[in-house]
Amino acid sequence: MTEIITIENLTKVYDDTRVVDNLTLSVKKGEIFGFLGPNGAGKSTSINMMVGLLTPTSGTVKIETKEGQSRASIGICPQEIILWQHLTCYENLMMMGKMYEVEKSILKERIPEILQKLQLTDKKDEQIHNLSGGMKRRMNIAMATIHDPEILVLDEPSEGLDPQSRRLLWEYIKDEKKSGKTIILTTHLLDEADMLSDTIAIIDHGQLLKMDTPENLKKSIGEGDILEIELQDMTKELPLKLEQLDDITTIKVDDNHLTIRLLDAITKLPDIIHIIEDEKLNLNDISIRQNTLEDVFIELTGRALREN
Amino acid sequence: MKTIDIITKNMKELIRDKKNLFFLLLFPIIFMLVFGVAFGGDSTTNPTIDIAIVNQDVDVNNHSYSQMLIDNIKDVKTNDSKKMFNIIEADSQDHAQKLLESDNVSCILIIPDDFSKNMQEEITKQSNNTPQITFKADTTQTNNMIAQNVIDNIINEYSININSQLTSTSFNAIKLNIEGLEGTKDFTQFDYIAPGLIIFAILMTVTTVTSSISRETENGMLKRLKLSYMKSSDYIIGNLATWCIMGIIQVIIMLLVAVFMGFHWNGGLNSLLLACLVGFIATIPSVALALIIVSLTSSVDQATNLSAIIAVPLSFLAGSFFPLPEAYICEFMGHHIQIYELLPWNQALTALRQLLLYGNGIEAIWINILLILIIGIILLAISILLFKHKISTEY
Repeated sequence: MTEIITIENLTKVYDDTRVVDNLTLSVKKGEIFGFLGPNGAGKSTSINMMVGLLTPTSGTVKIETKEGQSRASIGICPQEIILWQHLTCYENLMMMGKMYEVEKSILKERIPEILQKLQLTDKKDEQIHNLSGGMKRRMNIAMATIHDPEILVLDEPSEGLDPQSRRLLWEYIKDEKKSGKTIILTTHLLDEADMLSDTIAIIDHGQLLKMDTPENLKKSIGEGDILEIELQDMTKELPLKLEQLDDITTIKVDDNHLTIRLLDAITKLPDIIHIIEDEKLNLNDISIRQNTLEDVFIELTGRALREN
Repeated sequence: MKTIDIITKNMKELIRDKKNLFFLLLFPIIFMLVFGVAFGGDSTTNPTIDIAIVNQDVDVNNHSYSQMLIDNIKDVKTNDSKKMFNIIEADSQDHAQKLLESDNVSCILIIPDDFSKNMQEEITKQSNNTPQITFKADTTQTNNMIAQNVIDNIINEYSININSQLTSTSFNAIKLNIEGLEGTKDFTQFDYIAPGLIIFAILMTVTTVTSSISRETENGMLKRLKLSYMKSSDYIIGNLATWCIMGIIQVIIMLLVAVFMGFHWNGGLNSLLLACLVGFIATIPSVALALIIVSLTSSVDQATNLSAIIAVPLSFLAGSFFPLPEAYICEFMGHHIQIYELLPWNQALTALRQLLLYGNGIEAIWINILLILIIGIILLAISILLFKHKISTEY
């Protein structure tokens, strides 16, 4: 796949604060690019510079669409719901389409299609202020796609959506990808990013920490499973004894909580419980799971995304 | 084309947003109804009568008969020992007429340039030219009737006084010409206030436009639109045109309500069309002021509050509710410029009174329209610069 957006040494400085610091990355044409980072990491500033709404302090952004660097080749769906409250769904889309100079005949065909995909057809003639929060959010996305942009930027599109609407949105994003659009997705929902993204970039303090496919990111912090053990007490000897077992990658101790990364956790579990019993410690809870992006995130930023 | 789309969108939003519509139309209409009820009846009596005196008299042998007469008028007291006349000395008949039309005075006294000369000749019997003075007013109003009678008495006393000083000759009385004002015989105070309320409505546009644009700025709609092919100029012109159209609608609706409440509308369709033109043009500085306020504030609340703080006092300064005192700043082409005349809304008010109250045509208001346009365009240019700067720095 060829690059559609190439960013080199992008920097934005506000009053001596480097909000974005030498960011270099590229987005491939037709992929879903997940942009992850805590609040204040510089995601929105980076996106605003990417789409041309903000002038960088230094660095370059290169966009290679059919329309060149034109802003109209990008559709942006902001986190906030930005709609004309006293216009109907149809009128909102028609107005936005006209601002993008889309021909009226095309708009007349495209608007019903978009409304149908986002299950808003029966709300076509309803004024926005009469819609539910989820419907407004779907309309917010519709507004970003009315001019059929090659690049679609979705900033926290699932925020405030019920599970049903969220699934609908995911289907819509996948559909847009199938139609050849490049999608930049920022989200707090790591499972959403994991499931939808082809590439994920994690940024913090304006710097790119890691960029890869979700699978590679998860592998990068160690292969295998994660075993979480909650004990009533803890001894100094327990971690040392557990380390003697085969295929244990890392052990993290946090008070009475153990996080053990290891291969084939199910097979190793009886041995681990046996060692705990030898230490005369009581178990409160035990769980096995696979690596998630949350683990990657914690590994890289030192904190969970939901803590921000 | 985008400008037309923006106008259509704005009009739809305006009509459907009942709260905004209330502030824009109903609020001034309520004012019109209240003022109509309060001042629509007979003119109220005022113990002090405002009179403009145009003294064109030329001294004869360093002696001014007119000044003596004016001093006598100045000295007249009411029963409760207050001065009966508040005298404003006007430079010309035009100036006096303007003072009358702007409700600063209720009557005019004109002393011609040959008054002293005729007085002298009459006393010495060199000719038979009777000295004359002209009193102009709507003589059906109680105050003006009183004023006319009092001035008549003063002139008679003055004549008698002169006569008593003469030994060999006798002096015939000074002639007081009474001129009723064309089309003003039924005027009430409401007739003067109604055009002011139309201007008040146009000034209230500042608050509505400020709220509308600052909302689009704060909620990110402008940012969203900036990504499209829409230019800042499309947005500004679209908004300007929308609100100028609203200015016309306001003039028509407010005038209809005013007529319903007893406003004596002079002039026909022509004056209405010209009044609509004035409403359209007077909205330009209102929109410009709104854009300036949006540019200088950082939130909807801040902008809306500031616009109210500015627009309401401006209504008073423009003369919407009360006659304005003399506030002379300079002279230009023989005209005494008052400081509030620099406000485009004051010019619009003068123009509306000329059109609707006196039934005058374009020849009476073209200078007002020109001034509104000049000041409006200057304000608009400043507002565009500030607004563009705000957009470029915020996004």
